[in-house]
Amino acid sequence: MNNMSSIIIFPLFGFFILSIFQRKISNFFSALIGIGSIFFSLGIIFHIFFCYFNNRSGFDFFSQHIEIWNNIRSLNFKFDLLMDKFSIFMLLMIGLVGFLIHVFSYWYMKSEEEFSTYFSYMNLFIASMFLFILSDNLLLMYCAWELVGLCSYLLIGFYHRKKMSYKSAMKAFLMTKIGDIFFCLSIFILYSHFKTTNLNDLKIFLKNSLLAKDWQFHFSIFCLLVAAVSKSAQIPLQTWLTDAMVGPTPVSALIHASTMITAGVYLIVRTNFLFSMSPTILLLIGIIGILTVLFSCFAALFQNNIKKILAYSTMSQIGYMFIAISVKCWNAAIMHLIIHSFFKSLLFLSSASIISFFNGEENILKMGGARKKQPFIYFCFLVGGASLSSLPLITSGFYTKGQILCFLLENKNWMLLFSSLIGVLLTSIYTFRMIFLIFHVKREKQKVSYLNNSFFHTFPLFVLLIFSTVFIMFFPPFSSIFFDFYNKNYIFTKRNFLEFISSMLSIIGVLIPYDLYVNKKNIFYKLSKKNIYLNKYSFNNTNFGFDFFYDFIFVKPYFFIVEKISIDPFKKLFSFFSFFIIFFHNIFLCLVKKTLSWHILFFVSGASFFCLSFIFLCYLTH
Amino acid sequence: MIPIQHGLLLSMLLFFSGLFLILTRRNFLFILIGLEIMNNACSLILVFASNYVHQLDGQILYLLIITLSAIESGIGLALLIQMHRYYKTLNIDVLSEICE
Repeated sequence: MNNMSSIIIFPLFGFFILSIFQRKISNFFSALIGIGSIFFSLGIIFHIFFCYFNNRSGFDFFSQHIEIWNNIRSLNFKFDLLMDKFSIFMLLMIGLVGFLIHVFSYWYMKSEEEFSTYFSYMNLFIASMFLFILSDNLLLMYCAWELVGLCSYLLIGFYHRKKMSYKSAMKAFLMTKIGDIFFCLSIFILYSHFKTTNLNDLKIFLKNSLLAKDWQFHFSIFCLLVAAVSKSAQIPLQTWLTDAMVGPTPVSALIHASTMITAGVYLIVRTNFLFSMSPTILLLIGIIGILTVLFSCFAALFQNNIKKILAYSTMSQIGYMFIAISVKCWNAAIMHLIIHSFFKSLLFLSSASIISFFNGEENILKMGGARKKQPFIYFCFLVGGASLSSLPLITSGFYTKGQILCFLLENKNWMLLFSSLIGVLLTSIYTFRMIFLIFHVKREKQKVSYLNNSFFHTFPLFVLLIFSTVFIMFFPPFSSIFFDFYNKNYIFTKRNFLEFISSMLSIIGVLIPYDLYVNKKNIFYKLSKKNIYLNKYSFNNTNFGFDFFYDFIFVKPYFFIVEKISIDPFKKLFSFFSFFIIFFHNIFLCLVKKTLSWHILFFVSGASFFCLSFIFLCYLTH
Repeated sequence: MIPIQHGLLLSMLLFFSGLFLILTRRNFLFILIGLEIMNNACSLILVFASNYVHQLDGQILYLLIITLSAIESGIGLALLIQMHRYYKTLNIDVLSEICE
């Protein structure tokens, strides 16, 4: 357990090497450094994982002291790492997904000019994500949180020659910055109460104290919630996620689908002892989750950009995690998080190859008929989509989502359960709408390009393909996810009934788009073929008015105030002085900027003036 | 016996005509000539003054000054020729480096 710090150090080292030798080393070597560093830390994670599960000596968490960060009188922040059951699974997931996506990026970014810069950013991201997962106090967590946000900004704006990408990067950065500020506030409040930010110490203090009625304490929890909401793109602060899709697709797969976007959920789970103190906040989390699920499902139904559909689906899946958190089943939330990151990165990577197959076309209405030309990608996409819409028995998403639904049933939370079931139906509708439009519907006049099916392209897809199905149970680290979290005594008849309902709903969700887009005997087929192009509703591109709302509430008043402040009475006073100086400057400049004879004239007249005045003075005195 | 007032008036006239030459002319040669005139006007005062006070000091000083001015004008003319070779002009506004 003493080599926990080396998990972070390897990618960080890779980042430093890559950023020092930018463009001086070949693409192959920079990819080797980038991928190799993640590979090493993945190996260490596997080692630690088996140590953790073999030596069950009563402790369920391990900590490692590295460095005293800051020691000013009573302020004493330590640079410590803490590993528990949740963080080890998160580490494993991030290591594995990060490694596979790094391998895939070598294929995808091959022709890119700033190849090594890309890998250095990715390595920095992975390092800071590991730091975020492992850090044992909130302050260090906050630093990692900011680093992760920075990497997200840099990678969204990676194609910086496009204007749109710069704007989206800025938007994502500012929207998550709101959460960062709230995170900061929460740390301040917690520190003023407990004089520590260490998670273990906080846990111990909370057991002994009676703070449940203190509103400041509840406010600090609320601030943590806002931080999580902004990072995880939940309903009031979700607008940045769909715009963040302008970055490279592997980046969307790594950062905006599987790792950084789930940092908010992880934050809540890591500080679950705080959140379980406040039932109102938990209820609020549930409401946010359910609103996000429904909103993003509806938005995805009307969206035509493949990556934006996937972004909306990410939002809705994280909404499920929030719902799971609101009924205090942290295990189910983390389980769904891990499985979700596998199938979502599978979907994103296969969409990356589809987009490059269709020459950068991202509109699903202009794609079509790729099933026979790219059967492997079709299969990947199908499995990923099935797992996303939780088709029964064969997919891994079915079990994790079923777990969340079971917890809702157990808590008799009918509102959340009912709307989650609606979400299941809608999820499978929009997922299979996308799949049918891309792969089944035939279209003419398509420009397709040849896909180089190299090892770097196929291997990550294949591994993620296996992890998105039920076969994940047969791999040792992940089997323990299921058997650790899953095998608990539930009322089995009720559970089976619920699973039956949810699987029926998802199958219905498959059949509806099949009827609309593929089945040629249906009347709707002809209608929908015409109506396909009417799907471009204007509210779709503006996030259902959220962008307008934020623009109206925040951006425009800000510019208004700035404009008002810029009119300043003091400014005029100062400008008077500057005007004075400039005036004299111009006069003297007139004297200087002349020919040589003028200079002589001035010299002579000045000298004679002094002589005459001297003579005059002498005359006066005598 | 010439009265000193006349001598001073003459030297003043010479001085100001030299100054006028410097101020109005653009050619470096004429400016050099103007300087010589001014120089001589100043030394003329010495001669008149020595005559006025009946001492020979001023006239001896005049001899020294005129030697110096001959050397000075010789060096000046040599520099002028060099300048003309180098810049191909003697226009003072073109040659000037004070103003841009």
